[in-house]
Amino acid sequence: MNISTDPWVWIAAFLTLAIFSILYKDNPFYRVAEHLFLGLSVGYGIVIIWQNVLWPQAFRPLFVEGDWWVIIPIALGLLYFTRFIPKAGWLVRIPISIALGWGMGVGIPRGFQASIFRQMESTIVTTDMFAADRLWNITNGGIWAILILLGTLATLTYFFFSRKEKSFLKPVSNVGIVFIMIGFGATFGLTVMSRISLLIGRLQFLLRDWLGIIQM
Amino acid sequence: MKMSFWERITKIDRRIIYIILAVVIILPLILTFNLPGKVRAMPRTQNVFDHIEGIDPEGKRKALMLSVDFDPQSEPELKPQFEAVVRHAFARDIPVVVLTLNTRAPGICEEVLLRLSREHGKVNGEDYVFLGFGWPPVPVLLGMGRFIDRTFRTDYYGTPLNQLPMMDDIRNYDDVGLIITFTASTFYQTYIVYAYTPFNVPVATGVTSVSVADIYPYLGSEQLIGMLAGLKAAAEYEGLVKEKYFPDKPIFLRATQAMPALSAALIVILLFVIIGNIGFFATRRKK
Repeated sequence: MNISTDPWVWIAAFLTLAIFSILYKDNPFYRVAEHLFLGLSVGYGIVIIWQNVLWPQAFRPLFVEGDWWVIIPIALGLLYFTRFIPKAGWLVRIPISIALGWGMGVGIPRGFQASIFRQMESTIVTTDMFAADRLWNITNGGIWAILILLGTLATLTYFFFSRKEKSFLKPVSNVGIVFIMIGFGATFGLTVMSRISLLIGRLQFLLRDWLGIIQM
Repeated sequence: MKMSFWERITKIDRRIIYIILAVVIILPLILTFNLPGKVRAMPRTQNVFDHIEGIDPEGKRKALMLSVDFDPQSEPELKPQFEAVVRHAFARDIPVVVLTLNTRAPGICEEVLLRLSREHGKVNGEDYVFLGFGWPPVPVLLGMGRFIDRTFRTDYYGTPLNQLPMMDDIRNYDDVGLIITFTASTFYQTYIVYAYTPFNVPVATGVTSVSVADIYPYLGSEQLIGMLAGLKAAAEYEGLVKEKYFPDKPIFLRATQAMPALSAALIVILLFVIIGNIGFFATRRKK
């Protein structure tokens, strides 16, 4: 056993135990740790944004390097604060409209390309997927390609709400439910695994970094 | 009124379950219990490893860009992945460019880079560069496709990028062999849309287990070359790197050490789920 002498490790261990104490019941230690985390996160975030974004990208170019053109984006950014001035509040529409227009112009074509066209393309079944060497390949094999195609069509049918109750789409949408349930099951299992991993991480910290009970 | 066995089982105090889980996790950690055999790398993990193996330091000096987009909440799953990949890059003398799109990640990046660079004898500015926090993500990702040094004027420590020797050969995504985003959020989509789609730079991701099901479509469409999925993938990657580059060197492999505890905990949860369901149906029939 080789207990840590680093005061920061002791503080982290105390806060970890304080957060874990909620498992027993709500208590002041838990609330202190929770509020401390929130406050520190916001404070740390502000410092990082100043140090890594505002100073090097805006204020240093303006005041140190003499790049006067950065006044334009700085002024546009400052217009967001006009929201707090009732008479000048309408000015906030300028940066919002620029951000929205730019965002949509940049995002929509690429979003369609990446999230719709390529995804549709990957559901297309081709004859070379049935070659003997890749028939069972999990990413591009024929068997899985058919399964993905069936799953996609059945699931989309389930969300086609304007169908008639007794149409031929009903059995197809039932198959869609099966695919959706398998998806939920997989996600639930993965969520459990994720949460347990987080717990193991904290216990490793307590047992190794703090108490020194485990070494390698 | 006396409760039956199954009624008592379904009304068990949740704190007893927490204690059982804690014991089941702590025991394998303390006893350094090892599972038989070794952790087998899944194809999605192997793909990331193989791609980095293909970045040739003797040919054109392409860099590995690591975007550390997680915060302390996801650290237990994603930090071991990040560490294993950095270790791999250092072992192969691949230049490493690290950045983050999360305000709470710079401390994590700095700690890992300082520790591993000391361990492997690497120098800041020559073997690796930490660009720091970039915001907002879309202009940063699009900007780096043209000029990295105009998107990040300085590194995290305030040194202009043109004063860092490593960055002489790394100007934009053409000089990047692979981008890996470690994220508990959807930053992998941002990289697919704004780095892979317009610039065709290979992208992989390291994610928490929760996100895995959402990412498979992008593996199927080959928009991601691979994925590190949760703590298990971190252990898989640690195993691949250790086996090839450090077979005899004693290295602390955090994820590998966690695997027996993870397996034990999952078996216990499986039993809880089965017992809970039997108890539910048994008591429902009685009613």
